Amino acid sequence: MAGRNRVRIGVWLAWGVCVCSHPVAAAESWGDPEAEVRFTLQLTGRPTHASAGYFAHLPDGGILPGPHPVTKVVVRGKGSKEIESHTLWHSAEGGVFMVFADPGRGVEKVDVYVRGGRRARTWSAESGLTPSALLCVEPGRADLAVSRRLGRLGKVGATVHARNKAGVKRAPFSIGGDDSGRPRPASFYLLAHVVVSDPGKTWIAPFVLDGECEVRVDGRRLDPEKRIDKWGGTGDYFNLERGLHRVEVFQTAGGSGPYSSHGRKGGLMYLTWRTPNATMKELGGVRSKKAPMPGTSRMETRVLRENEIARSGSCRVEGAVTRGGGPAACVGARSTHVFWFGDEAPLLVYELEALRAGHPSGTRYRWALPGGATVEGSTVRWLFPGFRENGVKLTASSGGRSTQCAHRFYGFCTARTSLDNAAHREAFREALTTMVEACPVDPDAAASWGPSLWNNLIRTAELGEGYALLRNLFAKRLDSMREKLSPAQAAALRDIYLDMLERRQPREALQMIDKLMASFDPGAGRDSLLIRKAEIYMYQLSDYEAAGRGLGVFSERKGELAEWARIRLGDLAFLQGDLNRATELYAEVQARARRQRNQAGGLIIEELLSGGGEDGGKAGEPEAPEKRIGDPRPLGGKREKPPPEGAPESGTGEILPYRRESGWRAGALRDVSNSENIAKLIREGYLLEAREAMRAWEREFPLSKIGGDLLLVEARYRMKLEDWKRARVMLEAYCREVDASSFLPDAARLLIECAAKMKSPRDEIRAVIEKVKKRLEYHPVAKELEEFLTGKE
Amino acid sequence: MAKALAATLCSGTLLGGGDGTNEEGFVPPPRDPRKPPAPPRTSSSAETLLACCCCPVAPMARTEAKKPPQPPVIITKIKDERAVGGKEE
Repeated sequence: MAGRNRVRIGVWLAWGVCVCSHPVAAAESWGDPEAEVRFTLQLTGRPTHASAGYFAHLPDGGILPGPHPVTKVVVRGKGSKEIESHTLWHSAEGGVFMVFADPGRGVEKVDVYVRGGRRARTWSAESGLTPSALLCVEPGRADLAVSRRLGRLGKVGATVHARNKAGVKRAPFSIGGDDSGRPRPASFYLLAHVVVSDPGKTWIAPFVLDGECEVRVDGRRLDPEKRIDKWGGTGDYFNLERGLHRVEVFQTAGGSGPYSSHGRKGGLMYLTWRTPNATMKELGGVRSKKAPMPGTSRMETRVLRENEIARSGSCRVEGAVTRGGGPAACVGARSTHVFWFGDEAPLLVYELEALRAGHPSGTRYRWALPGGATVEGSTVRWLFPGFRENGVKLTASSGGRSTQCAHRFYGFCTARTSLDNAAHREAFREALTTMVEACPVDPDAAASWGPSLWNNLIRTAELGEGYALLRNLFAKRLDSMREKLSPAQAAALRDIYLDMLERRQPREALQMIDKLMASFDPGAGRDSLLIRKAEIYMYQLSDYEAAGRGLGVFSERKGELAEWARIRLGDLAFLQGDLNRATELYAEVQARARRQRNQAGGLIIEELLSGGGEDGGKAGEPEAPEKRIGDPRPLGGKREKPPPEGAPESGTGEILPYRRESGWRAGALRDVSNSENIAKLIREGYLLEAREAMRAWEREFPLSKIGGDLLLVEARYRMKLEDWKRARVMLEAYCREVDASSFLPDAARLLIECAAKMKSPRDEIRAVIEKVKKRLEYHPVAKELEEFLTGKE
Repeated sequence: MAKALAATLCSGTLLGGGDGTNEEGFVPPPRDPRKPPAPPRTSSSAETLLACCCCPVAPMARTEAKKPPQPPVIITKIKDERAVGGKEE
């Protein structure tokens, strides 16, 4: 019985699929046989008045039939009963701005069919609909004739755009500027309907702050005359009956540049009125005897209230299909982040979305983006320049049918972006990753990217993030990177990339280092990569022999890199269980660092790192000053204002001068402060700064790896980067070699955590943990270790 | 007299002459004359009264830079055990 039911369900499903996907069936449910495209609109906001209807914007870009798109709005599930609709403005680039009647309460979606017509069915006052308050803008010219042309509706220019906006809170009926972000000049046309609840002789007074302005009420032009020397005393009388009345404003904004963002001086115009029975309170109270015209109202008019302006409802396009059920390409573009510093060109992160409602399953979306890039997928994150016209193309394909639309938009974003926000940094990297993966490599599109993009790449770079982005850049666009980035910037990205690569694919990291070394001139920069290579052998591949060979190159040398090589040789001896040799090497380096410090009366660690110490460094290419990640100045740039002499810099590991007599005490203090500082940096996510501070500490006090908690701090740093392998190798050596230390319990805990994260069998570290447990028999951690040793996998 | 006039013009005072402050009946001028009271605040010409402002469009804001890390504050005291005469221990 159950099997028979399953067969029946299967048959019904198959029938359903056939009927729904069949073109003939789709055509039968098509509400307008002449229509080429059908949009699905989600109603998102009710109108204040039924006659105000809904304001909608249908994208075009080539998908709408011409020469004049004619709309037919149908409520879903109510047959094909048409709702009155009219075109307001249309251009192939900007789409159709339209108004349709209120379908009533409870309706959530409507279908809009669009067919080609010889004449546009534009809105008129006689239609009965009262759209309000729609602000239409034509940027590029400040001319009342242009505003009047917008008022005649119909075909308009490519950059004309409109939105449902009457004004702002303090001036509900006003024009402030162009919300799309385009600069002056511009011409505006505001189509609104005001609610008259106090009929009779009404005094209307517009305030024009900038540009030319013309106001018409119910088609009659307002001729402003000064009737009285009061605020709002210049205007005109209109006899208004109860109900809605059309108010049109034609406004210009001359000049150039952005609209004023000043709270009190900005804006172009606002409207005020005095209704026949206005009270003194509404008009600002009664004038005192000391003022002119005592006993009368303080002002002659007041601003219109929010509820005195009708508002059309709002809706959102969810998707569009062509006749026959094919997908119609429609783009939704939204700016989410802005990266704009100093004099650089602003870069905006845009989320482009193909509107998919009603599309057959399996529809493919292909984006044609700037720089010759193409991307497959329904959503794309991309970087576009701000304050410029931008364009993309979308092709939607399904079952051999495809449509294409071109979408234009002006680069502008009012969202606030902060480099402190990890999600904002990730948004930039994600958009750039899409770009590097989609843009052609030969010729390299990255070669034409401006400094703003490269600088923001550096600003958003962080340890352990952006692997796919850096992998593409280093594997395919190395030449462009070298050309566009300063040596310090390139070195910073290289360090971040190698850090991630050596964890994922250590052998590939070695090859990458060889590739980078081949392109370097012999010198400090190149030799530092040899130490990096030895670290990979040591920590990632456990090839101690290769690591030793690599570090042996520095055995006869002097200078900063040689000191680092000795520290790494000490690490190697420590990992191999030769604690004496490790201590000897660490002690040598530490003693020399102390001598330098004492002779100089203090040592600045940057001098050491750049090879400017006592021994002098190998001649290499000059290094640009290091940059902190919090500094918006791109890496390698010049510091605008040098810090005062002797002022400490947070998180840079700088060593302050101290008196020779108190050397060992200050050294101990430095040890503690380094530990605390780095732990805090790691906790707060300043990993680059933590790494630099840790290097400074390690260079000055390598013995702290054995006697202090330097090794534990580094292990925590590695764990934060999810470099479990390196952390585990270090901790295992510490637990094995250090007999007694107050840091041993923590080291054992961290080692267990690393093993758990790596999902390693317990037996791999059992011997080490047992050894620690014997040493810490009476310590509270012994219980935890016992649980680990006796617990189940 | 011509010399005295020239000296007066140059120095701003008559050299050797009295300024009259010692004379009987001299009334010194007020040192800090009081200003007349300000007129009461009224709307004499209401056209200048800004009862409303028309807020402009929202501008595109610049990106906030990342704040530098704040190192922890460690307070300690290092005692210098060196002898007063400069000898080290």
